[in-house]
Amino acid sequence: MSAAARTAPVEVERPSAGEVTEPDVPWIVIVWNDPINLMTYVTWVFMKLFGYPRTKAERLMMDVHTKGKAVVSNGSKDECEGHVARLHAYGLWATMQKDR
Amino acid sequence: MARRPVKRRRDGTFEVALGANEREVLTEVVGQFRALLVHETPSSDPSLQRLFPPAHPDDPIAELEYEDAVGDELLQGRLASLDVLERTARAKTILEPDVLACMRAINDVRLVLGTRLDIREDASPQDVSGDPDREATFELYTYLSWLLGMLIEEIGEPA
Repeated sequence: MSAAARTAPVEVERPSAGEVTEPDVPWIVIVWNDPINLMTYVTWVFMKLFGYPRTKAERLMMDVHTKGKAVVSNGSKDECEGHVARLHAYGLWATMQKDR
Repeated sequence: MARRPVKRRRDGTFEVALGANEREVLTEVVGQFRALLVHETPSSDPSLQRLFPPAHPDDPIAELEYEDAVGDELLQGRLASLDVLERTARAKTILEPDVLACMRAINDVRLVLGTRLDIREDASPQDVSGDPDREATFELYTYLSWLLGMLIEEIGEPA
């Protein structure tokens, strides 16, 4: 037994029953490939919504096109929901999930 | 040189250089699409599902919260963009925000038409030949794709 174990127990705050403790996991926004959206349009939307330079927007667009999906942004749940809503407003197929 | 349906002027406005038949087609498309958005839902017409994809496909509760929070806003935004496209079909001059709204409205219509046609990456007219309705839908889809491409070219880098 180590010395630390003999010290007086420290009071710790425990979550009350029903309270869910969620570790501070960041969220990611994923854009999925679809056969309808034009490549030039997807690139343009990435530049418009996220302020990405053309090279980055085109790389993400090509990832979506060739790999089927790409992570286009990340942040808190609220931030990511805002990004997804704006992508949906522009007709892109976007989802979000915890970045585990 | 390729025909430009919308031309940016030096003063920052845009000249609408659509032909009479194009204006007629766009007005008709807007009317049909508005009726679809107002009277149907993604449940009653699956071609609308592509316009309202889930944000949380694996979490029904989070998805309901998302739809509650932004569903109506997304629908109202789509209807507002359609209004701009309808005005543009009658206009000689529009402003940059109008071009952006037209891009969104045209893309929305493409998404619905493309879903109905079950369009593939390498879609060609042969895929729909023999069915006059599908041929006409494909022709409209192709025209709107061209128009959207021209608008993207004309608007240039986003502000």
